Amino acid sequence: MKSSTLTDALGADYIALCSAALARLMTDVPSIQAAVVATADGFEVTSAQTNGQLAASRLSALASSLLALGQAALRELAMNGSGSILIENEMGKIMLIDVRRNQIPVVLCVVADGDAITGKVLWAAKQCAADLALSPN
Amino acid sequence: MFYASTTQAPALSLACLGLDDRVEASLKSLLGLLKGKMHLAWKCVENFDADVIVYNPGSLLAQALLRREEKSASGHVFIPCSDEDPGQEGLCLPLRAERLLHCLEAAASKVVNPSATTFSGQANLCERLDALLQTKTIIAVEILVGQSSGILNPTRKMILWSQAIDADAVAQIVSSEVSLRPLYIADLNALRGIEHKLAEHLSWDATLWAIGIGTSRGRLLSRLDADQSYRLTRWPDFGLIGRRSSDLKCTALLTHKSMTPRELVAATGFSESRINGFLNACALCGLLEQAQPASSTATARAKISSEGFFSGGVLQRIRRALALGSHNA
Amino acid sequence: MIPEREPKLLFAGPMGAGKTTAIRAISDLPPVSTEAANIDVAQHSKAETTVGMDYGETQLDDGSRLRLYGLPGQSRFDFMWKILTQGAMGLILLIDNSREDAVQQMDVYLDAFESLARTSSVVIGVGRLNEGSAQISDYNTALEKRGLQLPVFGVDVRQRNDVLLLLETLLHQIEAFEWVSQ
Repeated sequence: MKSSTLTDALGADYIALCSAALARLMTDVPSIQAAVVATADGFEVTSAQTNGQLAASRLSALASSLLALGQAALRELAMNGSGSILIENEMGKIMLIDVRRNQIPVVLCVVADGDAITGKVLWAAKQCAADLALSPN
Repeated sequence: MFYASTTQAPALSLACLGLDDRVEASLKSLLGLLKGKMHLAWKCVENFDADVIVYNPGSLLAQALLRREEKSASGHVFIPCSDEDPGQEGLCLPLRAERLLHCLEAAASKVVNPSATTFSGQANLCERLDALLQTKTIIAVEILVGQSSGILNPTRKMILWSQAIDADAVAQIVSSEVSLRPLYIADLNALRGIEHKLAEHLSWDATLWAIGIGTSRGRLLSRLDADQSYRLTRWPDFGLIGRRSSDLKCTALLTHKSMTPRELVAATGFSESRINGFLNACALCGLLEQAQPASSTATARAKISSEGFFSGGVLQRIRRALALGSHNA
Repeated sequence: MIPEREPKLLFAGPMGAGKTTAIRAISDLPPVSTEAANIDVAQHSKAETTVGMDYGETQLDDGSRLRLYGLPGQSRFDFMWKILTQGAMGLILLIDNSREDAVQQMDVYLDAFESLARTSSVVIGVGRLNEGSAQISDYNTALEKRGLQLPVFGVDVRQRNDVLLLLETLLHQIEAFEWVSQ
């Protein structure tokens, strides 16, 4: 999809807001290696990473599918509301957070290394998600 | 010693249209049971101009044939058959012998001009049309039936017709006297003139399929051979033709393996007349081609069953859950 | 291959072709869906698009279930296609003929699901046949070029009977292939 379509859909101001939020996240929690904001239907909006290895667009699609499946599971159990998913192994953790907005919904995807403390990363990610739920001034 | 007079008991022909395979099989077996109890004998046929047609009210072709009957009052009787009870004059599923007996006896009294029980010498429509389509010098066939007419253009696989509504046109073709007029290269201008006046298109596959199934009277086209192996070149568009389990099953088989008509009967368990109608329809649509016979070990294989290695009884369970046609005739 | 206890059918095809509708027609309960707001309106004007999968079930008489999976249409979700193809019995491929590249779309999906196509476990339903320039014969020609002979029907998946036609044909295909392979 053309980036101009994305800019039209979300607005340049909002995309800038997302970039700024990710920059703060990366600075605040050193164990976070990468973060991506994607549209709920899997397109990359913006990303930040420490070592340039991440295929952000691929991760965007995966994140949207995983969150959607997670939301479906929650709905089946009548646990309504937005949710998050934690995926982890020895090498690290991935957190996916559903960001509801008045406008187009997005997902936040945070990748942290194996030494990261889950609680700390989750808290920081949720703060970031709260920022993403805002509209630009 | 003297001969008893050999007058045949009068018989009426009965065809099924749009019924599930299992319902058809059930109807035929009930007919067998009722044999001694009825005044007349009944003969099951495949053609749609049978004396009595037991039909699925949801079938478009059946609706069209019914409309024709109402207009022309040609003395054919239509008996509806569905899940919901259409009343005493129709059949309700599951079929019951008493209701069937009642409907058939009522129908018998209404039938005018019962069809001949012996095969008449005149070639059926399927045979006549096929003969023309096989003739290389013919560029088109004009079809005349009642007040309607059309052009069948085999090169462009196009059928042009004078009125709209596919099903009505097809119903007319399969249930009435049809004249066919071949057009040759010398008639090219005349052809263009006729085509110019015809606004409606009929589906090639759907129309020829209906002619093949509905007018073959159970006989294989004379150019086809019961001992020759055939295969299909492609699937016809059943989206337009309509869903009949036996058609789907036969097509699936014949696109995977070449078979003779006899082998197809043995593999499916369907009647020879059903298989002949199917093969004629394929031939008419231009889908049938001759093939080398399959290896002898292959031909010795038993009838296809749903208890396959991978699928076990799974396919049959799915069929039952969704009330799809059974694989047995 | 060990036969799955609960058979699994896939519904694939481009966005807007009717996969979710088709599953709804045969699922016992309203299907689970994973739709998200659609940004890529250039692709399709739909408000929402499947990003995970649709899931429906039909109860069978031995207590097991026929599982129905609708795959997301866009190729960026092809990881879902790979995941869900495992153990699938067959595929119903739905194509939207109103798209200019409709026939090429069929090729894309037949490439992606090649193993199912090779074992005849695919049927193709073409929707909106009257809204595009391609005809069924064009699809048949494309299939022939690939050396495949698969059922291609013009359908409207809002009609339950059309969905049943696709499903019943698929069952006959699977059976016939198995029979000739013995």
